Amino acid sequence: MRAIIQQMAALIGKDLRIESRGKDLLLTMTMFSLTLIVVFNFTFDAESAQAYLVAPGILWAAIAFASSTGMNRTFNREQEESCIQGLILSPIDPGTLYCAKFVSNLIFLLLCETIFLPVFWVLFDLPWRVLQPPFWLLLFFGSAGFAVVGTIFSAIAAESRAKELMLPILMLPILVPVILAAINGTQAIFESGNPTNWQPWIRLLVGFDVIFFVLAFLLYPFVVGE
Amino acid sequence: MEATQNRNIILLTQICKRFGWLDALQGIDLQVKPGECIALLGQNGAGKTTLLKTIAALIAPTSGQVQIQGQNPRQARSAIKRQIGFAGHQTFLYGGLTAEENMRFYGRLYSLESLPERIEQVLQTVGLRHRRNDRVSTLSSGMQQRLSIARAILHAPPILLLDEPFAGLDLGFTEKLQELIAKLNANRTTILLSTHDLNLALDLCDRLVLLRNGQLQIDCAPNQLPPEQWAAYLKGTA
Repeated sequence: MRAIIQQMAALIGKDLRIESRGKDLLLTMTMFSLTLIVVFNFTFDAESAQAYLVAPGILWAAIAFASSTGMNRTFNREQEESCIQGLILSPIDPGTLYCAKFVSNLIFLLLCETIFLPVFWVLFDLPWRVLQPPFWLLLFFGSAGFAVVGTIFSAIAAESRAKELMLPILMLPILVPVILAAINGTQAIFESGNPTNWQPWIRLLVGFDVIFFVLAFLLYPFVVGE
Repeated sequence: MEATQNRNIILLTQICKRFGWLDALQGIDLQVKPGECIALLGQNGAGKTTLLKTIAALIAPTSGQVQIQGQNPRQARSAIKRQIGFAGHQTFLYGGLTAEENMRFYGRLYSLESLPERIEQVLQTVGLRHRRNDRVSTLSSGMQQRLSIARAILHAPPILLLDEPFAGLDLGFTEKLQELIAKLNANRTTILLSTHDLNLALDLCDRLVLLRNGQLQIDCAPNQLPPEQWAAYLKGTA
């Protein structure tokens, strides 16, 4: 168990260290999301009731774009100089590799969100009172859903010829339940603080995350096998 | 039969590998005893890299069986993987990390004890101690190749697979690498290396294995054939 934790720490630490030097991944993800938010902000009047209704959709569209851009890049790094083969050669279980990649992807996505979320909030003139634990929970489990699915599909897409194109094509249809639950949950939190409105959506997200995490963990050895 | 298998550290039985329409390996049988140093010779596309990658479990054979110390490396877990060191055409190194960070990363994956000392030792061996804090992307391709060899020997594996290890190296380090291979082999490390340099293979290895079109053509000691005949085989004129 100690060896597994050490291996996971080494893999996550390596991803964070490389990103802290290049910052290309975080920069691309954030710029993509910010552009989308700014464009929609010009389309919808921030002061109107309409903007209040569409804001959750725009928020999760920005997260979806950021995740598909970022996750493509994190696995492509392993393809440079065939580093993935170095990992396959080493005594690391593919499941451990999946867990480490999932954590790295989730960290990058959450970091990106912490950068664009304040801008989003100000541009759409959203009430600060909704930034309570239910919203953070929804944001966390929604982002985890993107990371769970994106981590395994980025490994599959990296093997195909149309790498960058393939990930959103594979990933986004599977993520429809996450996107719908996240948008509806965010709307429920915006409209009222009543837990009966937002709790079912968070439960759905947790269920999705757990099921797909287990599936991806079991299937990862077949994905990175050769 | 079982006693024979136990004596072989690597046992390949009727290995075939097909990439689409191309038969890269066709029925390769090879037995390697502990402490042997074997050179894989052959023209480009003969199947040397595919064979080494198959032994390292980086490629699954289409048919046939690979056994490392009596176990299938694709099924056996970490214990067998720890037995193998592999340096190939790609370095498996992260350009965004320094030489030392790459070694530390791989050392932690292998859960090595006394890692700082071991890193110091292997960097000294490949003559890159003075560039330890430089990012790999800033090193020359020859230096990256040396660092790749350091990565392969970091966990002191009993089996070392080297795919054209002398390619891209300067003369000074080519000699050093020859000494290193001889030293590792003297310490009972089993070495399989592919090379186009016949003289190096004749000097270094106990056995030469010649591949042609994915088939094992010759497997014998260097002195069993005159060098001219080896050269003729390598040129494809024999």
